[in-house]
Amino acid sequence: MTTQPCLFLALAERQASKLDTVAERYDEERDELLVEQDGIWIPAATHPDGPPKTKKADIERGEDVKGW
Amino acid sequence: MVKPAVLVLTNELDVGSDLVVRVLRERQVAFLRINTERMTERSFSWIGGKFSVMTPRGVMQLDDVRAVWLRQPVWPTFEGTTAEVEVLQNQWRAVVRGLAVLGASWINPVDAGLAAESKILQLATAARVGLDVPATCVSNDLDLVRGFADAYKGRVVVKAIDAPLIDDGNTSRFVFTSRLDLAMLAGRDNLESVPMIFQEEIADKRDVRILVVDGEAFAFAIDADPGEVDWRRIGREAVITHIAAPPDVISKCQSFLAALGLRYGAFDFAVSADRYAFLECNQNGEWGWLQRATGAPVAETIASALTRMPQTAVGRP
Repeated sequence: MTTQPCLFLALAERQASKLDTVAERYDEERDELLVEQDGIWIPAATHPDGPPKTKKADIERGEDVKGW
Repeated sequence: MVKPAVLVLTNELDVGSDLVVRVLRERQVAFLRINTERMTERSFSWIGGKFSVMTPRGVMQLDDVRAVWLRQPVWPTFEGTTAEVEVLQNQWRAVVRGLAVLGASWINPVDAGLAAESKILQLATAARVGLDVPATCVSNDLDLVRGFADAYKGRVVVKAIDAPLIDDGNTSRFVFTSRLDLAMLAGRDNLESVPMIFQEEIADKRDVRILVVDGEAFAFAIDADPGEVDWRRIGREAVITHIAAPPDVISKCQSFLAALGLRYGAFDFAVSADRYAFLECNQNGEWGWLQRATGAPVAETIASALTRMPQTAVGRP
């Protein structure tokens, strides 16, 4: 048996900084958006907590509807 | 008593839902957005044949919901073992699936969306509706892969057959589409741990994403270094342009969605001088970044699709 990682893991590239870049783009967008406060949607920029921050792991959530 | 007509199932960090919610609000459409990771914080019940949700604005009854946008639900977190957490989350999944009894139209229907996550099904369906599908080999057998690569003179790309993001909480790793380096296969056992997709490379290509929203299409070119196989590696440096895609390609995309029972799909193509090659269709693919770059009214179109949907007699999500 080979001790090499499988091809899949060998091809997996560390991408935290790249995904952060995409996350920053989304976070810029959030200032212009609405967030819920006590059931009412208000401009994110005026929310006491500020706009919610996008987590880098959320970037590809488009594929995360599995598991239903 | 507020009776929403549109129900959005997502999580609180979902920018795409923010964009659509903004349009629904401007149009004064009664909607309820449920950020599913916070469902434990609200009274959520089905009693006497009716669903109700307690919100800060009071009780919302869901019997008038005509459309459900199944966007990006994230499930609540719990203390406990992995097995316990999974079982507890499954209880919420089951309740949400029970929303089938509302008789609403879903974008996308749960079962159809899940089935459409299969890249093999996508490739087979694309070929069936007449889209140009690059020669493809899905295998864990490296001898077979070497033979496939030889047939295409070594110009083959490799990519994951399922979600390519590995996130351990602190770091993220991503399996981008990349050129197959045959030297990487040397010294390996013949059978890999997992299968991957090997596909003939479309040379000198331009990436195009076509969004189809309930029949309406938007096409975008994503221009990066032509030598870069996967534009996602360069992120925001890519130049995005709203373009007109060939009508026959759009028509086949629409046929693809109809064949799989979907109302929304994000299609990715590799376009060269003589080919419009189908790569994949993400049934929940992102579009906010395309709207932002081009001003294309995607959120408006999704909002319109949600508000023109009639209630169906069949309550199957």
